[in-house]
Amino acid sequence: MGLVVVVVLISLGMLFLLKFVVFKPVGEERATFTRSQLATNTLNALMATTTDCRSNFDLKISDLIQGCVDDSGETCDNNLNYCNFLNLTIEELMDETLVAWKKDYLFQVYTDRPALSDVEVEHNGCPGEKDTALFFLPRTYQGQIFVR
Amino acid sequence: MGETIAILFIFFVLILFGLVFYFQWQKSSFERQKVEVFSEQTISKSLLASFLPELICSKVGVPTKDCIDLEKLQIADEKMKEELVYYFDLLGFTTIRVERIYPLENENEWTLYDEKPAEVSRKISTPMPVSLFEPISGKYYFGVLYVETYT
Repeated sequence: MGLVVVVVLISLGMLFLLKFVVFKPVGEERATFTRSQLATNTLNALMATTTDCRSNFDLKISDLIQGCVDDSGETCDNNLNYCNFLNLTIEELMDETLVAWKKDYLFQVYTDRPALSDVEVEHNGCPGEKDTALFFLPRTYQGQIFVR
Repeated sequence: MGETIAILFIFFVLILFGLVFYFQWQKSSFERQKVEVFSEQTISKSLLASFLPELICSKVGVPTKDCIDLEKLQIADEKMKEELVYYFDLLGFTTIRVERIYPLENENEWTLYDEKPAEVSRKISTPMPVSLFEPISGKYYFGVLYVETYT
């Protein structure tokens, strides 16, 4: 009887060891590094990108965001307003990068004061655990624009 | 007498299980260490590639993070193939590719360095979105730097 108890206890101990030591996930450092860099790199690269909105004038995504938020009323060469052009361009870029790499995302532009327009593009959103990057832009009329 | 033999038998069976378990655990421990070392090497190579002075943008000598200078890229494309021994010491078995995503132009893909081992047992690809800066026009393109490491 005592031996049975010993055998059972040793087996349980080995099972716990198997679960928490042998099957411990590996390579978490790389996953952490990749995730933390991806949001920041993507946002930094996106903000600096020169678009083909106007053929005679270089407009970056950051310029279009400022124009969109303040509802400048200006349009691109294809007659889309800045907000619509931004939504389409960002969705296209994210489809070729984050979505192709099987990452869900949420791209949002918001302000500390009421905005006339906003930009929001997503792929399944980010309801659970997420990695966030933040970018600040000045507004034409007071306040700040936040991009994340 | 019979009980003693049974107990001894069970005891030796337990020792045998313990030994088998220990050797299996050692084996998986070595495998895990190999994967951890490979992951760390991947991180260091990715960082090295993204900060290569041969590629990175700079203003008044100050490097700009997450940015690749397209003029430097064209030259590095040729140079890295000429100086293979030097870059192999630095990068080992790695592939470094740059791809322009938007807006597209005539040339949109560059493979700067491509050294694979004879047999690839494991491969990790680390994509990093970057800006591609055209210094003559002052335009920035959206691109991706791919660093693939092999073992």
